[in-house]
Amino acid sequence: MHEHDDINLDETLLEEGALDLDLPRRRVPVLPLRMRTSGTYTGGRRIRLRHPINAPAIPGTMEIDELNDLDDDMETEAIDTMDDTMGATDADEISDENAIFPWFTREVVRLDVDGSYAQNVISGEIISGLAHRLHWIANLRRRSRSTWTGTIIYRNGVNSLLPHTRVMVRASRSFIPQRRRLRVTFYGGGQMRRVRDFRFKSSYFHDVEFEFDREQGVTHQLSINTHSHPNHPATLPSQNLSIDAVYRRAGFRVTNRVAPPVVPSALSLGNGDPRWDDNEMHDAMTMYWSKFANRPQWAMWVFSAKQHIRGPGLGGIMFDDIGANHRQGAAIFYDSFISDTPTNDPAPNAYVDRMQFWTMCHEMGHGFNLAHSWQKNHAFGSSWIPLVNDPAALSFMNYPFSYPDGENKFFERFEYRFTNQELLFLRHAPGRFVQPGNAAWFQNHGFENANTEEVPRFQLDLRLNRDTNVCGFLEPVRAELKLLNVSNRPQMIDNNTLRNTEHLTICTMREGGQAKQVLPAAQYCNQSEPTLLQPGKALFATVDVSFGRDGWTITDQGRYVVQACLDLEGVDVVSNPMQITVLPPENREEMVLAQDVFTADTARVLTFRGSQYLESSMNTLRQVADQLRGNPLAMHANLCLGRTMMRNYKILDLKDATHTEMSSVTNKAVGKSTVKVYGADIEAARTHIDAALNEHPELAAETFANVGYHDEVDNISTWLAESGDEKGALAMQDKMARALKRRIVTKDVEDDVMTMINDMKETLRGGKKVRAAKN
Amino acid sequence: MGKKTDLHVELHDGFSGEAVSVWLDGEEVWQTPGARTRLQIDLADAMAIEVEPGEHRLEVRVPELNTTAGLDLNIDGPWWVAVNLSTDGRLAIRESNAAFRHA
Repeated sequence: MHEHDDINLDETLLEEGALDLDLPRRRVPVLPLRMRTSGTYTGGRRIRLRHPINAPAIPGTMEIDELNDLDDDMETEAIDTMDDTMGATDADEISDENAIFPWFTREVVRLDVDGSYAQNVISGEIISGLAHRLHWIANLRRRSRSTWTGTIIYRNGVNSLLPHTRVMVRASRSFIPQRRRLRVTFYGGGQMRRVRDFRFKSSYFHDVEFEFDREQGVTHQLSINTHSHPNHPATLPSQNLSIDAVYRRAGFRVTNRVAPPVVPSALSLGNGDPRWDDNEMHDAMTMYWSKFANRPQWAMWVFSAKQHIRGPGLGGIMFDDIGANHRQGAAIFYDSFISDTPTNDPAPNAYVDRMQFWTMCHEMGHGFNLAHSWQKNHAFGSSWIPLVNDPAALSFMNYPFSYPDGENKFFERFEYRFTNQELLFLRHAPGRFVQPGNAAWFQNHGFENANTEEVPRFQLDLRLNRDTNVCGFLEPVRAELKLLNVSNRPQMIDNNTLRNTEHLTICTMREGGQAKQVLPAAQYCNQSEPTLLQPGKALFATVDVSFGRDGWTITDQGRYVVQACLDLEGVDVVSNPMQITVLPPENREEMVLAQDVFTADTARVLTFRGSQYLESSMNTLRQVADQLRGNPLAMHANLCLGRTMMRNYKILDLKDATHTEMSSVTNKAVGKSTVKVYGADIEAARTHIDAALNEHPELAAETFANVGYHDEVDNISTWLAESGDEKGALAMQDKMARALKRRIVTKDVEDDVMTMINDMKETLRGGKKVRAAKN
Repeated sequence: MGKKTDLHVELHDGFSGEAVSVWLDGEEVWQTPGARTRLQIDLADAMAIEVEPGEHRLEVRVPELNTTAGLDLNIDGPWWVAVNLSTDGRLAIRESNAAFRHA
């Protein structure tokens, strides 16, 4: 019996006629309308409890951990009691200790307890910041009409975002979908209870657009009547079933492109053969698919063609395992076995229609990353959860002609559906596993869950400020961030917005490789400086994109894409994807030093502009400064060397403490430690700093980025002035002014920079105390 | 001698870049340097060879796995043979007088 026969005000099936049941015409009592609860809910608003969890236990209630020892009915009753006494209210937010970025967390849940082929699960995604996410799934058992409980059975991502083990779901039902609500309580695992409210978004689990294009001369089969062929399950309703309806029942809200184009057959003649090969179909997809973007998206191109170059034995293929974005398109071949009728079939035309329809659904299933029924647990690739091969599955993903009891028996039992295992995947697996075109999570679309404004107020630019985005081998890539007010009104913003690294996410990806996040080596807590940013004005900062807390992310020659995203009060501002090219090594010295440069310690030294403790890395930088004078890295090395010599340098020496004492920071370790002071070496510092910033100021501005170079010069100028060398300080500022004038393109920005330089020079004159440049 | 007919040999499931050679009646008739199964159609590669109707001995070899499988065929018309490679490195051959279907 089809579970989808529940009447639901949201369903478009009613309009499509897919529920055209073959019922006799007679008066029947009005059946009660059933309200579906399943679908996608968003929000995750935190719920504050009237009494804190760690307050003394209220008589009659139970501690959290004790819930796990109860049977299911008692568990529900216990939670109800706790709610009543503790009083969950739609009140203020509670601090969520498990969220990495508690002020910037988004959640979505997908409840699957009624409707077509209900799986009795709930799945969800927690996104904290931009790069921390967790996908989870829980099995559910119904406790009452609107309450379910279950165990979390699957996690993918940052587990600390949801360490709980159990979930309870309460639904507020309504005929008006927008008034439906879910309250989801997470508990168990010795964790504080976590309660979230969600608002209804859709009766479906994913939206998807299909475009059905066809080769000239081909008529494609997008729907069949399920009773046209007499061989069918006795319980199968007679209905006009479309491809779209198949996927709606699988949980997708399906839309189609209106008036899709006809693809000329001439496109298949590239090799002189009228049959299509995979590359020709891929080319046709790029030319004719209106949504082609070569990136992951909830859309698929479905091509009906005559024949594949492999001949009539191939009825269809998900051809798109080409390039970086797979599964964007599938093809069906009508001059193949799918159009052959077996001998003595009672309904040959219906047989062919059915086979063609099955093939299209089958190939599209591959587009959603479904494997064949007999290959679920395959040695190649990996399954998202342990799967079982099922050569007897009654699914679109099984070959009817390979069914163990024969093709006739297959269609006698087949209900035009996917298996429960497949539906679980399509509806509840992490989206990137299912989404067509999705390989790695970052592919120019990387911030796929970015919560951007419809009418953006700001634009984030990431750039190198060079004629071409080409960097030397070993060169630390330092980019400039520009946050521009693109609205027509002044915007209040913290002047330190771009320097507060916890709100900024940087990702790099080498061509053909995996995306990597550049984690900041340090987080800076700057006092808020509210400022009114006028329309057309911008904030600037520099950011290291080739290394971070965990070491280097750009280490090889080749092409890279770098992208940034800024969380601005809950709204994401995503930068342009910046493409850069890293050149190959110029000489043997670069290749030899690379292995010592590309270490986490050297990255740390470069980040903090020097170290007296990480001696090995500092020695590497001395070698770089000495042997690679023409390499931009030498400038960075000289800056690190100079800065460590500018002033007396203190380090905490724990040489006499044991490893155990040091690691537990005991009093013994403190007692055995000494403070070592390395004396300043002013002359050596000046030599290194001249090599870094003064000998070739324009090159310094290029490699340190304009803003970074400006900050460094301000720092050094301040030191020079404080050391009594006012003349040297002013000379540095003049050199910088000349260098930046030649580099800055925009007059407004040039004027602003020159004003800042003049102000600094005024401050330096007369030995006034200067506030050092930031970070 | 009867009119020649086609023997189709298809490499199906389990291949991940192995070199495969096909021998008919003791003579190598086909080899592929790196057969790789496309899981979406359960097919790695295919070839066809003209043969005389009658009895033939087919062998398939995967040298790097040191594995061989053989089948005695009695061909009286177009004939198809499918070869699978299991995860434990064993070849399995099956035959049919109708084309194998892939989708």
